[in-house]
Amino acid sequence: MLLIDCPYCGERPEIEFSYGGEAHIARPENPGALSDKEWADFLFMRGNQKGAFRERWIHTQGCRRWFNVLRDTTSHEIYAVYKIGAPKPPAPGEKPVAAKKPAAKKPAALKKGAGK
Amino acid sequence: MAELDTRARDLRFSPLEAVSHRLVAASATDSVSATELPFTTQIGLRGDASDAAFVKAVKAAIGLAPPSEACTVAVKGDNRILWLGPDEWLVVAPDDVEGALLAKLEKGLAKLGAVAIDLTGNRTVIELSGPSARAVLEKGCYHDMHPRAFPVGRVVGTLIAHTQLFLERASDNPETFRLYVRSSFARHMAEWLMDAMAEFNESN
Ligand SMILES: [Zn+2]
Repeated sequence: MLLIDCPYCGERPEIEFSYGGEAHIARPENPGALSDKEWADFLFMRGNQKGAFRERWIHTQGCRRWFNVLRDTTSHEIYAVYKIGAPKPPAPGEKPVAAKKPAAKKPAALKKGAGK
Repeated sequence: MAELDTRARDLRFSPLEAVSHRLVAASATDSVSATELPFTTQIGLRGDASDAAFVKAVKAAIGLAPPSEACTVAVKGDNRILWLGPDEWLVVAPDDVEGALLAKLEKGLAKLGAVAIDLTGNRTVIELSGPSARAVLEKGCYHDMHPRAFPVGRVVGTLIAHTQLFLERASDNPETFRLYVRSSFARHMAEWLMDAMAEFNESN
């Protein structure tokens, strides 16, 4: 059982929460302009990291708010909890540049599709 | 909404009415007792607690400001406002005032982008009271109910016996909890409570 520190309610048992998969995946602004492959990438392809992973949780039984968690997928250690829209706290050993990488990559890939 | 006429009042029944006599029997003890507080008025509020106009409008209608601190309850007389989320509250008031309260709230909130909605009947309230009340609840709840973590005036949305509820510590003398349970889950919760209370009833 994890204890998850809801940014609104504080530390609560895991059973009060529901999992929402990988965080920071922006919906393409113009889905119609994407190829099937790009659309499938958006819908289905996820990082599936071993180690620090940014993911969404919702406090379903409590305040019913979504937020982000930086959790280690092997040890379950929670490194950080942060609100939707808040700056990403760096993962252990992660350089600030590396922290920005996933966010920078995704829009670039989508732009390519939009230009077709 | 017009206030209930006498006939309508006679015809309605609360979610736990059918088991009320068994709740009384299960409560025949100094340790812990359970009662339903039926037919409370309940109004859902959505708004911005940092907006002075919103707080003022709610205060004018109910006599209470929506608490901005997470997981707290504001109480004045028979009215209370429960914090449910950073922009969400539940007003709980006596029977049959939802029409009057809503009219006042809607008038005050109309131009603010805030919302008041009648949720009366969504949940019923079970009051669990007595020195063993906490021991009963702890059988089916992961939330830390020790007074240092959960003092009077606190409310949490959590699970007891796999059922979502808002749990409020209403008093310390005697130790009293209020369980705001969805009406369709109330029977299950009551059955679970009576079973959990049985060991504290010496006449069993
Ligand atoms: Zn929460």
